[in-house]
Amino acid sequence: MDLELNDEHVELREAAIGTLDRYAPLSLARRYFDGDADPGGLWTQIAELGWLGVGLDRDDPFGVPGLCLLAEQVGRRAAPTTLVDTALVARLATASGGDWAARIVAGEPSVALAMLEAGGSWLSPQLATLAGTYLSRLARRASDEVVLAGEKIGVHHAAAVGLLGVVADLDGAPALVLVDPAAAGVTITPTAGLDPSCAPCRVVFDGVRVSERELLTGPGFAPALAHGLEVAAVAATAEALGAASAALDMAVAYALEREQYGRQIGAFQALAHLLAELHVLRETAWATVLYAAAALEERTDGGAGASAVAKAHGAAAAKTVVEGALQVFGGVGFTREHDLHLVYRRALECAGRFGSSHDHERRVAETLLSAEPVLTGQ
Amino acid sequence: MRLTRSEAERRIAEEVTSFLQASMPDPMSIPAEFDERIAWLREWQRKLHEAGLVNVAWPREHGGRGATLGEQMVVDEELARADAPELIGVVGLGVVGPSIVAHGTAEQKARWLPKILSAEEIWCQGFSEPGAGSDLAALRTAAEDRGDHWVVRGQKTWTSWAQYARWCAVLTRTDQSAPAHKGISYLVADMRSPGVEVRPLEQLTGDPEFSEVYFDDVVVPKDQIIGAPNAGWGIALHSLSHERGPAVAARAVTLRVLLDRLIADAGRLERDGQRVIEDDQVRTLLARTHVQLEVLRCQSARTVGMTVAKGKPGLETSIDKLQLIRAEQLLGDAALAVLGPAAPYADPDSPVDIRHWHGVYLYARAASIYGGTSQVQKNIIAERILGLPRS
Repeated sequence: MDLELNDEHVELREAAIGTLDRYAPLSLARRYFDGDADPGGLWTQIAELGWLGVGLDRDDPFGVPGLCLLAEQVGRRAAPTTLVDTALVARLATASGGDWAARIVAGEPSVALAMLEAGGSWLSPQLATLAGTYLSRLARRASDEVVLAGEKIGVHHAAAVGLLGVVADLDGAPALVLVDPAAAGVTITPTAGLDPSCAPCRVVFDGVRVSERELLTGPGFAPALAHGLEVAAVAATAEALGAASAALDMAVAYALEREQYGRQIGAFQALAHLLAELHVLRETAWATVLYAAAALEERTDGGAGASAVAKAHGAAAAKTVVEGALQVFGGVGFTREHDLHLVYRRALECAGRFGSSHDHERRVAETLLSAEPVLTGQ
Repeated sequence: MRLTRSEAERRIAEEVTSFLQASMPDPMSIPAEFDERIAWLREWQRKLHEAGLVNVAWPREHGGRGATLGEQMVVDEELARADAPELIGVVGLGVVGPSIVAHGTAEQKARWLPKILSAEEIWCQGFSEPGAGSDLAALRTAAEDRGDHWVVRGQKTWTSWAQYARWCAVLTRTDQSAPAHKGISYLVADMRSPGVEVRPLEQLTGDPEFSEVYFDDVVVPKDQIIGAPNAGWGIALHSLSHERGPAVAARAVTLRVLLDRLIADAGRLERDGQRVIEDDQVRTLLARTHVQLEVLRCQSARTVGMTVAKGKPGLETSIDKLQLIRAEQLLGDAALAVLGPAAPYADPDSPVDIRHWHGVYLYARAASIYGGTSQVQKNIIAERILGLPRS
């Protein structure tokens, strides 16, 4: 096993750093607190550089690890983009054929993922696979149309995109319904959130009528959804870790600069050991992300298990890292004036998206403990 | 990036498998009494070496195969997966030997490496002292230069396998006036020399695995120094990085086998009319342990990749060690949780081997002490990776 990045991966990461430093400095995320942010320039760049299609083709040199490297850099800057959500929608569109995938990858239109429902969860507690994600009967067929009635929450950037990718249950099977945000019966309400730079929205569908052409479903859809959700869960972990890693870098720099009791606070073992523990968390979590990404790319049997491990550990690690970084900053970090809260918020947002640490730990328990008789060592 | 084994790695894995099919001992045939067990384990390592499966990454001319570190890891993993008996020469194979390979003279390699592989000679590591544990550089065991030999005087402690060792890699102070790290030499003492006294210590687990070792004017010939005089500190760090790095990957597999056994035991035990494996708290703990062991496997694989790229283990081995500690101690806790309120009592009628789990739990507590405590590992990460000031 070799988890070293390929040369192509290293180049992709370098390119991502250059582009995002220019088009998504932390000041862009900050503008969401003032309500005057415009992510248009960033979105154009991301689409033109082909990032929305990274890891989508089997012969793409970057694969799922490439998507994770991009997500990591997005997280470091709390960049306002639906990169990971779009990666999922594009995977579903690809599995269903037609020309939607090409359009989505080109960024025309830009896409928001509408999946989570109030009172629902990212994944069903009873099922080990993500195919069992909770979905309400939000969609139903009516002659040659699909009618949507219900609501979704946590839809990132819904008010700014050109297309809503609605994951819904249709006649007992999962489906993706592509909805024009301007269609009659769609109401998009921006909601306050822990991470305003994700521009979370509540979207209400009140008898929204969609033609069959905008309905993606079929026999290959459920496995594509399961695989796409595994990819999204790992990429969201990468984004959370990127944000957490930026927070930790800030905290280490601050520990070298800030003096109390006449010395740098990083010289106090209580803080030095805390920072060392956080470093262990970010490194070990990143190792699991690389492994899961490679396993999903190779489509080995262990892909699902590896992504559950990556999210179970990585989401908890990201949360612990940003909380620890805040502690190192003390009162200085507990202000909106400091940049720390921008990445702190992004780490929390991504830690929960596509299932929390506990959700994925429960998946692990289901797969690990259901088989009988148990494994080796007998 | 590559998750699957290379062709060479697959071949050597098959070799291990077929060796084990022919030679894997019945666990019941391994003597329980400590001295007899050690003798039995030496014979086991000799057989494994005869089959060419001990330290395959060592150079051909010294009894290895010149294989890659990746192949070495595969052999270790396969042995651990099959729950094969441990290698009794572990200090020579995994800690001191790599330093001889890297820093020894041609004569030293020819003299010592082959017998390390065959377990004909067991090694121990005379590093810690009663007054120099975490602060290893404070060691006081002194070696006086007497022209054609050194005379060593002092005391070492927590020295694993000392009572069976023929050689001891002993850190000694050879320049009293130099700063602490710059006056240390890495000598090799013959444990049969006059003046060497070994007093075994019984560990928390009950095994006398480590000892106190007294050196009372012990003569060490001048050709028994690894590296240059007063350059021993760097070599000691090299030895310790091997103890933290490559050794961790195999330990991860051993722990995996233990977790599988614990899950099986949780399926066998009942408590309050319910199978223990149905208990939500137990399930959460087992899943959490599995996650942390998988994290350890991924982290360790990443470190091995960096070790291969750089040619030697780096500072990131401290991360592996801390993750090993987390996973192993979680496993120990999970074992106690599976046993429940009966955990403290080794009921002979229990369907599971409670004493075995006592050992697993207790030994896990050693993980955060041996080879540099967790606090020492955190100091290394804070100061040398993150660049924080010394405390």
